[in-house]
Amino acid sequence: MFILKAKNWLALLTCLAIIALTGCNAKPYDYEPTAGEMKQGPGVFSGEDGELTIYDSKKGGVFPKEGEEKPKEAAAATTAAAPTTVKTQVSAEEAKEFQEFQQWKKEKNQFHEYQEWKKSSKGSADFKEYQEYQEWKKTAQGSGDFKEFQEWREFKAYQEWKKSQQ
Amino acid sequence: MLKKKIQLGFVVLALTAAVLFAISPANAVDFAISGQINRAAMYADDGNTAKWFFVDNDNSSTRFRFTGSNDFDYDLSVGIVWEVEMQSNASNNMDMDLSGDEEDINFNERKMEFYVGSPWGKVSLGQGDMAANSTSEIDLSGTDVAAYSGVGDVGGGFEFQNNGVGTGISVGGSRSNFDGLSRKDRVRYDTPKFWGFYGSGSVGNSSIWDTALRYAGDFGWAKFAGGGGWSDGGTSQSWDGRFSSSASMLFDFGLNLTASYAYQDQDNTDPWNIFGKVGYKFLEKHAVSVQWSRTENLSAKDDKGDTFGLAYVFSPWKSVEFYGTYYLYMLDRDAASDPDNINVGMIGGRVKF
Repeated sequence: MFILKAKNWLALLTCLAIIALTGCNAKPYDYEPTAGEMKQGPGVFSGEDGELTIYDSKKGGVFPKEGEEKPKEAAAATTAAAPTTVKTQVSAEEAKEFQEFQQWKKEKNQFHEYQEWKKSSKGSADFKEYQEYQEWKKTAQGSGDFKEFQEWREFKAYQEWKKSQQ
Repeated sequence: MLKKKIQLGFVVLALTAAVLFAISPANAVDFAISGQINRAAMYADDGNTAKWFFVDNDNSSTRFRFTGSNDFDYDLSVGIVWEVEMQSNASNNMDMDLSGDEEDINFNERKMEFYVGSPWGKVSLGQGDMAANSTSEIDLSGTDVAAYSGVGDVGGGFEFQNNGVGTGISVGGSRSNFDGLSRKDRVRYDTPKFWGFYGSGSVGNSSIWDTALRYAGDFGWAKFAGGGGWSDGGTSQSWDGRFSSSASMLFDFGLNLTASYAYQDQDNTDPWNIFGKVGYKFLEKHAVSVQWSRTENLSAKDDKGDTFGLAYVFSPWKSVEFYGTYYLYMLDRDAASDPDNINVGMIGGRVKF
């Protein structure tokens, strides 16, 4: 078995160095061995990922699974967990519209209160945030954030509608 | 005792598989292919003969691989790695008697394994890295494709000559970094990471087993990685045990220092190896290094195999590296006169696809 010999000083020093350095508020990082291993990082044909994705349920791929939606569509519907029959019968857009109609009916009074608030609370923090949102809405159209926000709205609408069907 | 451990390992795996069947279906799946070509022109001079060779750089051989993984609920994942290499004229197999190209080029297995990852660690089963593999080879210099502690991977097949007569001792037979047990058919467990530390253990055929501890940390002004392992050769190796260790530090301004120490517990000889490397990374695309190593007692008791190496790597694009390296292999024999030095130069490129 392992017996510490005089010439093993380097191993001992290495251990001591590790222990000493860990006391210097080091943040862990993912070191992957490189010697002898395949080159890390991007590939000539595979791009930034460094690998040619044959299939990825999140990103799609060269050969997406038959019957599976393209990533964007999949994100919009966000219905991966929903039964297939629901997907084919009602589109996310229709579900959203219907849900908004139901919400409008329920929240008529609240909407009127909101209109009152809009008139009376100019200058308040809430109103400022609202104005910022309006500004963002104008400028962020087409951006990734804006798309994600829209997709999230559709998702919420779909969830609400699904709940109401149970 | 070891059999019982192996049986226990299989029971754990069977239970894990049962749990995976019981839980919900996959919610994220990916499957990808990647690979690289690493070819070079190598010039070698053993003091008697000098020749050019066109080789596959064994520092990081030509290969491709399939990887896939499948995420499940409860932070569980199952993945596969299937990696094979194909080397035509491997740089460590060249010798002066070679005429033409090497024949019988085949696919060589590197990894064929599946793993189960969880918050409690990762279990891998199949052909893959033993726990202590690469513990002698930690290197942050950026020049390891050209030169690293495994100095026999370039020119390892050349035989030392004494006034034109072969000594019977090759470069690879007189020096080694005594790295762990390489890749074997085994079951392996890796702990989760704790403040940058993680431990590993594996068991393979013929009673081989090993264990290792690794650490990697970023101090803001420098990165550090280090590790050490102990391997037991079981009944399949000519040695009893092997200690392997290495550490590397890369400062933000490009300077890097790497060291490795390893020894082998072997009847009467107990060979050991020490390795040091100083490197510098600059202008984002360049890395240079100079290294020295000594292996003692490997070819014979009190023989010293010294190696001096220079390396330069230029990465014009992230997917492409061009490199040049020079090795001077020396052998100081205790029981006979010293043979001629062997000089090896190599220039080549590695392209990931």
